[in-house]
Amino acid sequence: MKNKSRLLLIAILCVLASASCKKFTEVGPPKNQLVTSKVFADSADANSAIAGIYVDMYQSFGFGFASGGLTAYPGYSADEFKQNSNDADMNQFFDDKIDINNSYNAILWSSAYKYIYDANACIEGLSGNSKMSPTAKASLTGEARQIRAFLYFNMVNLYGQVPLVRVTDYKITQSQPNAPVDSIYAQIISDLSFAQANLPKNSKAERANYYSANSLLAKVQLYRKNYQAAENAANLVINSGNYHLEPDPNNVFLAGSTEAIWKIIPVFPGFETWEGYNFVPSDPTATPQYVLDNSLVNSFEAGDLRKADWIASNTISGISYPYPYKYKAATTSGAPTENYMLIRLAEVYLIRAEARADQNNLSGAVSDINTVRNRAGLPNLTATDQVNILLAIEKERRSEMFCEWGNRWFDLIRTNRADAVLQPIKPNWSHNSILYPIPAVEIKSNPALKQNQGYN
Amino acid sequence: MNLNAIKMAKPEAWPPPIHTLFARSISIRNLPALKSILMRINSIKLLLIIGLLQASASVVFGQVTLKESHAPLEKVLHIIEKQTGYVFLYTGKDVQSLTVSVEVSNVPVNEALDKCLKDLPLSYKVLDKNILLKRKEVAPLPQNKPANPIDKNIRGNVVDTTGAAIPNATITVKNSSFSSTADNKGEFTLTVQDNAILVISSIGFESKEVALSSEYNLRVVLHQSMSKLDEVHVIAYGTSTQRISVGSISKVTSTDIQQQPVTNPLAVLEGRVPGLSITASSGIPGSSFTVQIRGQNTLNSALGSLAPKDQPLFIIDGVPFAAQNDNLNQFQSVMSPGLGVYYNNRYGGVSPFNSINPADIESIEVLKDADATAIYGSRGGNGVILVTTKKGKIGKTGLDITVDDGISTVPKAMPMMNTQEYLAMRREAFANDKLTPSNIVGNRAYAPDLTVFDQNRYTDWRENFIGNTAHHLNTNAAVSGGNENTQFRIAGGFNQDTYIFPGDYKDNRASFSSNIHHSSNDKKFTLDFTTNYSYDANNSSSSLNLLTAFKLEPNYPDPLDSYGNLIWNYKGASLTGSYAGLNPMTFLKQGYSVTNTSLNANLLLSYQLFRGLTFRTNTGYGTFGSNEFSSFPIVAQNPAYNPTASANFGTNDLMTWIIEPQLEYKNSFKKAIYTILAGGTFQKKSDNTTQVQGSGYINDDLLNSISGSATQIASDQSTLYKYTAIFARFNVRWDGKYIVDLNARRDGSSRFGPDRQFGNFGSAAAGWIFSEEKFIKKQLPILIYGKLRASYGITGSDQIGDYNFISRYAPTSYSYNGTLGYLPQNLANDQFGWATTKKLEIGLELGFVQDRLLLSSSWYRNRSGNQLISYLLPDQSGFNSVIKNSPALVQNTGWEFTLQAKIITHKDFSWNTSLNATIPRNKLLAFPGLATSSYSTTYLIGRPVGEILGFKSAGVNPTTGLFQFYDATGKIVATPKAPSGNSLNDFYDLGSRDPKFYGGLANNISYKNVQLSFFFEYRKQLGINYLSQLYGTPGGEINQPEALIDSHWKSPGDNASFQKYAAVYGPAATALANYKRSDGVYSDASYLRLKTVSVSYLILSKVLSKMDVKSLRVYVNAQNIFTITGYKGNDPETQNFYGVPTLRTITGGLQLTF
Repeated sequence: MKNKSRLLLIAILCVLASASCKKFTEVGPPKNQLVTSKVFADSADANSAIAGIYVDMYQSFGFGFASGGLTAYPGYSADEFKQNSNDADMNQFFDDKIDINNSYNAILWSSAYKYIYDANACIEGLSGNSKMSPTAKASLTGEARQIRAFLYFNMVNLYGQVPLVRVTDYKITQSQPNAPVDSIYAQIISDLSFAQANLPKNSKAERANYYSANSLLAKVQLYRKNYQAAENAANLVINSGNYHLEPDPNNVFLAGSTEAIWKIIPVFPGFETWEGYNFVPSDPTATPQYVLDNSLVNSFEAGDLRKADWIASNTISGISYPYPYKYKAATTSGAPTENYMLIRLAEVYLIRAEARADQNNLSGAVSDINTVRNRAGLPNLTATDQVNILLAIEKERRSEMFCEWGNRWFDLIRTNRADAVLQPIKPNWSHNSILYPIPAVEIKSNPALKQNQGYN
Repeated sequence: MNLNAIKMAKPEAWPPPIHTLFARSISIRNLPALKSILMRINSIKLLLIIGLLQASASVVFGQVTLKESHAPLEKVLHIIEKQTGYVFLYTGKDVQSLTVSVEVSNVPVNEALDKCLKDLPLSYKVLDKNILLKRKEVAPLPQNKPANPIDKNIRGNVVDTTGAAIPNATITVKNSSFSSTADNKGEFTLTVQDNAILVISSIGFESKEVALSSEYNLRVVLHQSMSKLDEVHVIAYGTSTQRISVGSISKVTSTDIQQQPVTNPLAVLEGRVPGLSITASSGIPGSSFTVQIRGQNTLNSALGSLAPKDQPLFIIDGVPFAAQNDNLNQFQSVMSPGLGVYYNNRYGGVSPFNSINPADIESIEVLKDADATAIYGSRGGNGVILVTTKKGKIGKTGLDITVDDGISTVPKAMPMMNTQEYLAMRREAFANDKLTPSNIVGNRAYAPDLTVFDQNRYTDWRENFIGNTAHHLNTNAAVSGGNENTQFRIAGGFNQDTYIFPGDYKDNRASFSSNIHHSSNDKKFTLDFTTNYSYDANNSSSSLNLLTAFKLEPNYPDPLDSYGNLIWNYKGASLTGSYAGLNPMTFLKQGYSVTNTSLNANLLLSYQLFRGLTFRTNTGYGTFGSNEFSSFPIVAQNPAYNPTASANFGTNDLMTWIIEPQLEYKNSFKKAIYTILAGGTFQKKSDNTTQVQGSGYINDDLLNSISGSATQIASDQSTLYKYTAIFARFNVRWDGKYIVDLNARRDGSSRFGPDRQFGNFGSAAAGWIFSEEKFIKKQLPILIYGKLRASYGITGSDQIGDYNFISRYAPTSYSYNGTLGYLPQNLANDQFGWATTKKLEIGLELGFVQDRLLLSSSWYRNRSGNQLISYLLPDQSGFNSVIKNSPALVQNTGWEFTLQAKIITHKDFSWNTSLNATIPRNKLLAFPGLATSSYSTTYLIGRPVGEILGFKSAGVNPTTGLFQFYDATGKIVATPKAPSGNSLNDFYDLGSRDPKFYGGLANNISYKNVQLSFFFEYRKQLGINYLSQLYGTPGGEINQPEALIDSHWKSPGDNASFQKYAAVYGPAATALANYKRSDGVYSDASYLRLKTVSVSYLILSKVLSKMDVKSLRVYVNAQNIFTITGYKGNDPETQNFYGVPTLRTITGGLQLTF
């Protein structure tokens, strides 16, 4: 009957409309993404999560925390670069008077904590997983913890009492206050000890391993003035025989460098390291954007190969503009020819030299210094007393480690030499300049956070 | 409620009270409220509401089996009803005390009835599913004059002036409580007393009274109502009029639209609708508008940047517009300046609405309160904008062609310094800094403008870059017509706007729309199919620097050499290095193009199942596809660096479909006319984007090819959104005076985690047309229309991105040493749920002097709690925000007024005017835990969410020449202290940029064949002035506004309003940075703008009609004619010093109608 079919029609439609209402609104993750729990279900995916941190650290086009920023900004703050820019924010680093709203400073801070989050997410993800073999799990966890230690080491030296974030839960992390420097270092040492205990003893420098964990530990212990521990850790690296100083300084930063202990292979297709890209001007007639300070250029001893090989200059209208030339290439048509050094053997020698000198093992110190000097084409050191040897180490570090990871800036501060060296050349210098300000936006969004002294 | 009536419905209540008519049906029994109304029906005036009774659904008409002895007749009838599904209609007194004895088995109903009524004084008649019992006529009454009125059966049909049927008209009997509804064909049958007067009414038509004479077949012609009150407006799933609506709805019609020479339908709404705030982001063709109804309900998600606006829901012909009003651009261009700090608008970009041809729009309705928006549920929490396209009309096939052509220019701009003024500024700056300008690169005092460039050369770069005249061309053609059953309209349009920049930049749009309406002969089935398609190609520059190019030194050398190539070096000064000196022609060489295709299709099927009961289904499909390209060619780079080119390719494909089955039941009962609507919604929306970056091109000619690049990097994004709802609406009008509207719904959204997906919402509204009350009519005859209405409801919102409750990782664009990387994408939170906004509104509408003066006013209060926001976190949390429900409660209140007057209504001369005003107030009512939250120094309880907190300027220190400020204690200091912890330190409350009030004034004057319309828009507000957007520190190598010459500090002792010039970075830069965060950069940005003027002349001549031309209209339309403002800057609307302000456009056109 007609009426029957009408009613049936309504009934069917009503059922259709109400059924599957609940099911209808369920969606999975987007097709180009993975649910976090799946990422840590097997070691291949978990390994990709670790690889992702390296990509994150090196994919930014500008100077990020781990992609040249820690060379450029502390380079300005110390006595490595001279001011050569109309960029007000950049000049604030040079003037050692950084505004709390400085945009580069904000990028340094936020990018570091993003990478720390990446590492924490891996550590948490791996700890919740039971299917992976314990060795694989411990090794990947060790790598994440080593990355975290590396980041905190740089943060604590730039900013002092930074929040010590070890989890991903925003309900906890959003209101974490400044942590005492000692507890940050305690965490760094704990992370590196874990890494040391669990990372493989291979020499694949592009990923964290046993040796890079020890190298970092040596550096951290030196900064903490635990000289014996620093020396012990350095010994494990140097005595392993896995690494050798490249005889030619020009080869130190190449992909095949035998002194690379931990490095990042550039990830951006077609580009070499960001330092090569930003420091090296594109043609001989261009003024470099980052010009080395004369005091640095003039500090090299005569015949130092590092000055000849690691510094280049453009001459424009009769004026010479020296620039860093450790990394020499900007772009590539294939795989990167240069790799970005996080820590290399020469630094480990210098760490051990300083640790030995501080323990009064002067001959051991001199021997390590000479290893580095000889590679640079320089004769053995003549100094014999502790004070002069330590000064020689400071100078040697300046020559060897200039424009690398803010080493010069950190050295001046940790040895309390910053006031003496920088006061005369920076009119705005104050002792508070040894720490960068915590970005204003951070202070604003976390009321528990206290600003460093001297900034408002 | 009458208790007897309730009892009566039950079998044990026999016998029923005397003098009661009742009609039973299964469906009525299931509706207690209706039942009680029905029970009260007065038995004397027997009139049957046939339509209602026919609604007896869900039973089967079967055979009758009876075995009764001396049973009450009513009981027997009841049994028959149960067995057959037929419903008896009778007067109680007719059947009371009658008994029957009957025995039948499985017989048809008529046989059973014959037996039952054999000995009774009753006859019966089967009417469809009803059986009418009547007393047998004993003897005919005298023929001449009836002593008493008698009932008679009449038939009638209702048509409009063209003879087309008006479906579903309401027929009421005057001075009685009976009413009925005509069917889809406009036909009705009634049994009424022969002296009755019928009142026939229908939405959009003037009511008509018909006195019954000897006519048994009535033909009622209704005239289209001329009153604004009866103008049809589109509401959710239906239509209504102002007279009977209890929601808050405003309408803009095609008449208002066609007067404006604009390409974006959003532009026509500016100032025309109370409660709707629309702001252009820029004057660039195709650029976006922010749209907001009744203020910002949610907290800002990003500090220190322009706040995102709560956007209303946009529905085009019943289908949610796929792109909504979102910014779909992936790449930067002059239209989407991105994340710049002061001088640009991050929410710019191409407006998706630029794909909609305003010429195709019949009307735009803006739904504001809970009643009007509740039926859209969670999607309508921020208001709803309904766009309805033009439909075909019954009549001869007609052709309508319009062509208009015109120009656009920048109306007004603050002048920049000329060369002499500029160089004087520079020299003064160097003197202040005690430096000597140097020509040595790298020297702090390097100043090629003073040492190398020609000191007498002058170029007005603004004139060069944004001083050109843009061209506007718009043509449209539409064919429409149809017969009673089928109507159609097919239209096409082409629009072209060029840019005010030099270069071949333009925005081209071709659009096509079609509509077909069909109804079956019996009018039970109707079909509407509408499609709108458009293709929009917009090409310009990807360089944001183009917008600021006029800050170039006025003595900058000619950027082109004698061969027309870009120069990179001028007398040894590099024109590539520092930004200020970059060759400006490179900005023009960086390409950007976007092509958008938009398709919106809608199929509406409707079938009348029974009288009054209609099943409808609305099926819609919409796509919005965007193809973007931006390039950085070799020609824009210094060849000395052996540059290679790069290009970006992006696609963005949005798709949405929606299915909405609905059942609607319309009927009238006694004095009540009611509608019940029930339905469901299934909606799915997907968005897929891809991006490919190609680099290493060695030839610019290959830039359009991905494979022409040496390396490519690809990435993609994909989201899926699903939404479902069931809803019901009940609307009843009683006696033309009282109106009640109830909405209830349950919504589910895929944006929430498990167990959080569903939410319940609803609204209740009531209206009282008090002008229909006798005492008002007597006491206040001047008042022809008066209505008081109120509504309250709860709406929701799921306006956050998708997948935020899932913790996700995504592959990185690059691999690490051959290993694919994964990176975390978000901070997941599976606990957030529906945001809710509670809306309250009270409205008063008055009409005087035959509708010639209409005033409508409303007060609203919206309170948004549990808001879904991107809650700010410090960067130490890894991500700087997480989606969660905010504890804050935000209130928007406001008054809205519309006054419409027909000042002159002479046949040859008429003048209509309309004024609207909105007074909004926004307030943060509560924010538990504010002091310890990341918003502790952003918001103040009791103040608007857009409140500006900043330093308080104390002018310029006469000694140092630097800006100085008040600290928190009121002491003047050089360097104020910014907020820290939860202390505001030296920040003051500087007020809010929300408009204090805004609105518009429209006038339409016609004299014979000449029509003149003009429209003013006004707004009272605080804005950011040009000082906030100064580039660099004045005195540096950047040109500045001339205004600084008089206002700046020159020497000690000066009482100046602007600080001293400085050539290099130093204390002046710090002081200026603080000043830009102070009240000094905020000032009044109120304005009164003559927004639209339109003059047209209609030519009707014999010559034309010989050529089959019905009419020819000649017109001139102009937009943004002048602005009265005290604003310190270029344009008080866009408030961009460096962007492109809204343009002044003047066009002339012809409209030919065949």
